[in-house]
Amino acid sequence: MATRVSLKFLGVRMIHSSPSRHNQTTGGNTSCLMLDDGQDIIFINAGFGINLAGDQMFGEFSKTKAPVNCTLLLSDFLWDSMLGLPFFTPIHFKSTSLKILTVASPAEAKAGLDDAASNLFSPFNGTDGFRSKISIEQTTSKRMIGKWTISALPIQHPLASYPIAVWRLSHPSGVDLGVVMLANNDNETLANVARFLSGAKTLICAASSSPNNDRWDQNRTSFQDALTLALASNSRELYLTQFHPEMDDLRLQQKLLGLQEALEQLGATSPEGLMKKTLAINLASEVEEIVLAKSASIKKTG
Amino acid sequence: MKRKPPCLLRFHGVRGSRPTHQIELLGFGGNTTCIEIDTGLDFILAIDGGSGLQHISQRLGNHPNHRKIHLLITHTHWDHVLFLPFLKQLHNPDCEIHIHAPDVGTQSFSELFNLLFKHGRLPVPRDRVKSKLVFHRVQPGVDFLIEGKIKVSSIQVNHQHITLGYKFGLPEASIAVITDAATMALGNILGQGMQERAALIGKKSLEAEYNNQLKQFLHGVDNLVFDTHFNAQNLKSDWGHATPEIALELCAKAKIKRLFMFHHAPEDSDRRVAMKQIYARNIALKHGIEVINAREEDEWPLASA
Repeated sequence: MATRVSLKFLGVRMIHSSPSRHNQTTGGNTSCLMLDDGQDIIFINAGFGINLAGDQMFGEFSKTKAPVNCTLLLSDFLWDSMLGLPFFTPIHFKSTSLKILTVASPAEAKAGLDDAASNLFSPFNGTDGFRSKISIEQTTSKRMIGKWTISALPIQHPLASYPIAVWRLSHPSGVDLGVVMLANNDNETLANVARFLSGAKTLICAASSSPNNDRWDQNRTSFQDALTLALASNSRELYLTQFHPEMDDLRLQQKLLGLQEALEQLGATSPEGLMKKTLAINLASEVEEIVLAKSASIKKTG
Repeated sequence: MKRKPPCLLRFHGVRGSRPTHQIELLGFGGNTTCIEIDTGLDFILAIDGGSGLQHISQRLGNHPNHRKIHLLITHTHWDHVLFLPFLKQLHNPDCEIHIHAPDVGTQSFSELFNLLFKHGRLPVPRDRVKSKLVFHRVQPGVDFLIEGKIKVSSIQVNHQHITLGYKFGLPEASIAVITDAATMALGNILGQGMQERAALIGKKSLEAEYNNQLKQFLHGVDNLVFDTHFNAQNLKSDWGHATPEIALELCAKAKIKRLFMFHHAPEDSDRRVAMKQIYARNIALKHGIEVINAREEDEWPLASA
């Protein structure tokens, strides 16, 4: 039986949500993506985008009463990466099991999630107030979740005292995915990340440039950094995400065109030009589901 | 002679609980609570710092005529404060930001404000705030003046922790804003200190006292913005929210002629929000109450009934 592995961007924004008609094509929810191979559901980050899946899961649960089992990989504990979790409806069902993987210690992770669900800022009483079964595990080496092999590269970042995760996920269907939701953009970090992701066919990378270089995009990968990483990792497809909230659809399209032009020029001038031209660059979009096929070539469905 | 422009009510964020972006609900908007009252004076007056505050933040930018902002906070749940650290003017040394908010338990709002900037949670540290930032403690039931010109009254409403409703006496019209409030029916007592009061005087007496105080507070206001998160079918009263029926009953008792339905549930599509208004208008007809769905980016002139 053919395995269908799908990828859905549920939230493509960093910093804060930006629901707007000007963001219809890309989206306005904060950081979250969902992988589904028909057996396991894996979320990466739990910004407000995760609530789109939560609403849907609640609808299904109401009909079938089938327990929700899923895994959440958290790259960091900034508000935009986890503030959706307390509002993720299945977390309040007794029958739900949620496994959380981080590269930080379980204590650091719990402290982060407790802050998000603090009763000072929410109607909840920290993670202990959630009814579901939650386990928090520190991922230090390769581990399996269903058919997925998951590994993480911990990186240091000036925004945090805890380590931040770059993820790599591979699947027997041929999917090989690198996910960079937050990384410093100094040369050493980028080289380190590129080594870790070397050969990942699909790269999902933060492209967090702001329209006017404000302080919110400091210490983050830009559009150009994402391209550099994709080329250095020999990726075949690059999905740009973690957009600045003020980058609307039009500005993002312009950025994409600029990047595609830069790639064309690189292809025309460099000795490895032909190979570099095979890199497809896309903007992540909350509208589309992406089917990751066995060959790991990516087909979009409307 | 130039006529003075009317006071305007602007909705920048009308959702409750959490911001959400979905095509099916962008008609009413996906940002969380933020309401601006444009008095025509030389300062910005807004209620709550939900994600809707980004509209004000972007509109003002570095405009030299808008250096002073007064923000009134109803309570500290995420949907009402999550945008505060990102307000551009907060980081501008030429700006002056006044935040009016109640204490939460033993903690002042300024302490909670600092928690929003906690290292590892937010990319910008608290010491990057360069504006002149002034915190004003609001005590429920104690009136205060903004810039010596706008009278503000407040009342504690039935919602988790301490949550305030505000009333503004403007030259043209009065307006009250109650973003989150549940009925006390069925022993549903949520607010800080309210259980203790119930233990003292009994739940039924507290409910009667609360309803009476709310009615008196709102009596005769020209415009009311009120929580209609739920409808009668999906009401979860212990979540701290109301329905159109509850809002309309209050309007009828307090002789309010215009109701803005507010705090739409994040899972409610445009169609569902519109249906709620049709339903509410049918009930409102017999009381002669005008019912309007709050919609992001709408502005309404404030006039007395």
